[in-house]
Amino acid sequence: MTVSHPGFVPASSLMQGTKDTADFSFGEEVETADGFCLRKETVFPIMSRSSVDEDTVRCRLSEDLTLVSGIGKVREADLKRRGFRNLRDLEKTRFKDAAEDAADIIEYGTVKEILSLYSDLKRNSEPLLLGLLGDTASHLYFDIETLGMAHAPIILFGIGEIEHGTVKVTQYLLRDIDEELPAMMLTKEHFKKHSTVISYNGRCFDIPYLNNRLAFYGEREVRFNVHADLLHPTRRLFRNEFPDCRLETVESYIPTFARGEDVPGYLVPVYYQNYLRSKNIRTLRPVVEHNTLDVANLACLLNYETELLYG
Amino acid sequence: MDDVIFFEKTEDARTAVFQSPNESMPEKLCAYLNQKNIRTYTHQAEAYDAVRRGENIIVTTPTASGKTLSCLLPVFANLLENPDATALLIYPTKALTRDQFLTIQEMDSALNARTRPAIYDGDTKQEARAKIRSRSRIILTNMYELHHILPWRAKWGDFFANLSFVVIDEAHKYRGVFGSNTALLIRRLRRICNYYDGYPQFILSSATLGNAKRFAETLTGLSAEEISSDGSPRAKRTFRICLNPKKSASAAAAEIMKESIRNGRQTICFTKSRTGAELTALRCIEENPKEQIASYRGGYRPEERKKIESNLKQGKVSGVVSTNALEVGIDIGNLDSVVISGYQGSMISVFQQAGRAGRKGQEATVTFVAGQNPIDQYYANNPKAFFSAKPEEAILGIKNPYLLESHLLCAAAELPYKSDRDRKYFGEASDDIISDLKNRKLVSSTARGFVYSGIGNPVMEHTIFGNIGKTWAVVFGNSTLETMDDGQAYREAYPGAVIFHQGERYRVEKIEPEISVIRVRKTSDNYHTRPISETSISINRKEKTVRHGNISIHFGDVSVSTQIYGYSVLEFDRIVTTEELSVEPRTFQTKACWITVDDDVPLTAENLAGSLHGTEHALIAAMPLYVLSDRADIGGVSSPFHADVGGPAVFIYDGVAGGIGLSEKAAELFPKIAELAYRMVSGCKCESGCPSCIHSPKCGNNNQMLDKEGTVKLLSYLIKESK
Repeated sequence: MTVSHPGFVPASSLMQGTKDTADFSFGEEVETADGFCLRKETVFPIMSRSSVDEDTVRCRLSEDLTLVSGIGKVREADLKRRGFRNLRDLEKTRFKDAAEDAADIIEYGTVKEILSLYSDLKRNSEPLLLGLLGDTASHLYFDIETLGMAHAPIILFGIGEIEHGTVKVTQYLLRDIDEELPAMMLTKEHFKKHSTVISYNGRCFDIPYLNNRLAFYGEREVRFNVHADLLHPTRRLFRNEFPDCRLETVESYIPTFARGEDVPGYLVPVYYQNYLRSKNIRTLRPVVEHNTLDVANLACLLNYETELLYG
Repeated sequence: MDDVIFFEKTEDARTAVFQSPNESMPEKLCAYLNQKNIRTYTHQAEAYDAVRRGENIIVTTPTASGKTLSCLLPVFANLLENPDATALLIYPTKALTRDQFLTIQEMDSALNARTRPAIYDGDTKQEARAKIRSRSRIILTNMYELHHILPWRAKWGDFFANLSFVVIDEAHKYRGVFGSNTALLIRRLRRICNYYDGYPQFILSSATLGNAKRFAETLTGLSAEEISSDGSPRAKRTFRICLNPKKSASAAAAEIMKESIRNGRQTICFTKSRTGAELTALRCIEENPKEQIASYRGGYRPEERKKIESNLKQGKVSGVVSTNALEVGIDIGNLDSVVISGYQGSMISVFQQAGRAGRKGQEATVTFVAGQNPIDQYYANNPKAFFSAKPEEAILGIKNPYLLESHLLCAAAELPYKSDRDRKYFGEASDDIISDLKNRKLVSSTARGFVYSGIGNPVMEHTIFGNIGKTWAVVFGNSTLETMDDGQAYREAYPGAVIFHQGERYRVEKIEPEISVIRVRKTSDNYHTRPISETSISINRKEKTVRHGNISIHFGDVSVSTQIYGYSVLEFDRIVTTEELSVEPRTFQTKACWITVDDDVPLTAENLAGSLHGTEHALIAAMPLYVLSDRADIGGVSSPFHADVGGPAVFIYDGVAGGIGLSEKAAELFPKIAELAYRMVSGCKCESGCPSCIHSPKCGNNNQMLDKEGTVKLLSYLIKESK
């Protein structure tokens, strides 16, 4: 399913991209103070979107009257019908004070302040906030593959960065469990260069998992300013349109890099255990490709949703 | 009550012995004690001083002697002085956690100590958790939760790093296999704290135990002082044993309770079972207003329990009938009279329950009502044995390889495991286990130590604290009356069963396993029901045979199933009718060892069954000392003809699903265990069996069909042949 959309290279034309690697090798060995691991870089030609003008976002957010306590969806519709288009328009109503506070934050506050306003209202999932993610150079797209659901090592780290109109996916792979720490320390270096993390369910899974593994080895946690977990806005936007909001499902409805023979996430541990027995790195190819696409497609998804809302 | 016989023993009243702590006390804390008009008793002062000197302690004074304050004073003193210090308080039940939380909260706000006490357990809301972890300096939880939070070091690192105290309330509950798991869990906690350079002190409170100091040291892995010099005042107390040959224990207990209430004395009655509690309460309601009699047990909704507790404290309730749920230190104050309806398996329990008796200045009575079973009868006929009985020793087996393996896997998922550094927590045996785990690819060697590398969550895979299983809801109309676990639901809520709840009778109408709901309707007749069940064992696979002389002990995988095949309908104690039932048996897989007996055994056909049964009980009684467990962790079945072996057999199995090496070890140590069993039985002066020899507190057949003489013969034969 390919939907043509401005700013994207049609998904169908990218299919070959992953098939060229019949002779699968996993990048090169990297050395760190804590040991070795493997690194692989894959570049995807994505037309980087021009970032949304911040004023446009502020303007759109200020039209949300439900930011004022006491105003729900019904009352908002009613107020809008009566001509109150944005928070500032409410100054002649009994909502004046609260509306003013919210409007001040949205018009003059920092991005962090706006986000915490939404977070205090338990509304982090507001899709419009995606417009505030700023320059794509600050983005780090992140996805991990683990040996188990909890307290087991991370076996593959996937990091996406936007460079010259492309998504560069850097992956660190463990050849054995003792390479988890080196791979994690290299991953940490990428976090230092970016202020905004973009993930799919990373708020509940990838980031706490990474931080707990760091703590496990006695290392400091990763820090960043903003974490956009696309799962939640995606649910808000497409809950009623898609059968479910797993990344694989969502991908099939929007323009993304197509997957070849994909391995379902729950089989990753099995693949890796088999690999540990055979030590044949080729057997990990499906897992590595799965992860590459998870990361690259995060960028596609963010582009698509931003275009949809602000295009 | 003409036929009723009482044996009595009186303990004199004792006045309070006060003592002020020698060690320094923050001003705020002194002011608090002054303002509340609290003078510390000797044991409280001793506990305070010992902890302030840096020692670990176990306080073993009786219920309601001010144990809570003994533990809290030094904790608050330290937390007042050190604004970063934290404390972890661990309770065996959620009800007790909630009860203690109120006390601690009150103390915190009176002291303005800013410890922000909070409960963190399975019921804590997800959104509240992060805040509790980062802000609270006193966290109340249970062992099960602790097992789950240990690997989350990113979230808990600060709390563990600052952990100054671990308070373990009702520590005697952690004995046998459960206790051994707890002991290893505590070592995991200590290893993590030590890693952060934290060295928390341990403060244990416990029922009186035969070996408190040693128990505390094994449980924590650290040296500990016992504080037992009770300074609290005690009322004059009369201990009575009541023998009523014409009545069941429940009926006799209700009689005594009614009389005691008639005399204006607030009374608590402890029963062995949940149904027993409800039935006894019903009998009391016959002559007392319904609102003055309460029953109390697990499964009640928390608000229901809270209400009963506060009514008791305020004196609105004259009598309460409870299971051992009220045996723990829930603050209900003390009562005038305690009735113990039947022996409940351990002297530790008897002492705990008796501790509920005695109000300031008033004479207190403790009545042990003997039931019909041989243990109760033995005590009724040998009051001296009862009055002089000592509390049991609490046994822990921290070297059990099964448990060690599970805990080492968890440990390797919490902090990389370094043999040199960590051997001191888990013992020498841990080296071999780690290298075995490495061969099985469950841990991997890294530069930082061994790292867990299995695919499951080690905390969940190894259900160290028992598989909790399903929770069933008993539903009447649209509301949930109470909850039950799998085992209770099977034994108590079969189709047609009568369930009691706060004096009302309900009959089980329908069981909906898909949603774990038991639907009941109200019934007004006077009946109650009792299941007719049988426990049987079948051999799935024989794994090995250990030879001792001419005796072969077999060991292997077995299925133990309990089958309810009907139920009796009773009106009071009379069986009115019996009904048949066809329900699935409840089966669990475990490991067992068994012996078969040849034809040359010096027993006649008539006394074979009773001798096998007695031997089974005696072996189980002797086992804990050798396999390091609690008697309750071991089960047995004996039969003059067992189909799987084609002859007479005695089976002894691990009470934990999957087996944890108890019967395996028993197979190896059989001659020693048989020797001790023989000495216990042959040396016992009783005539035909007693709790010290062949009676078992958890016998499924009510200790019927026991042959002491035959048991002695059979044991001596086994010893002779095993040489």
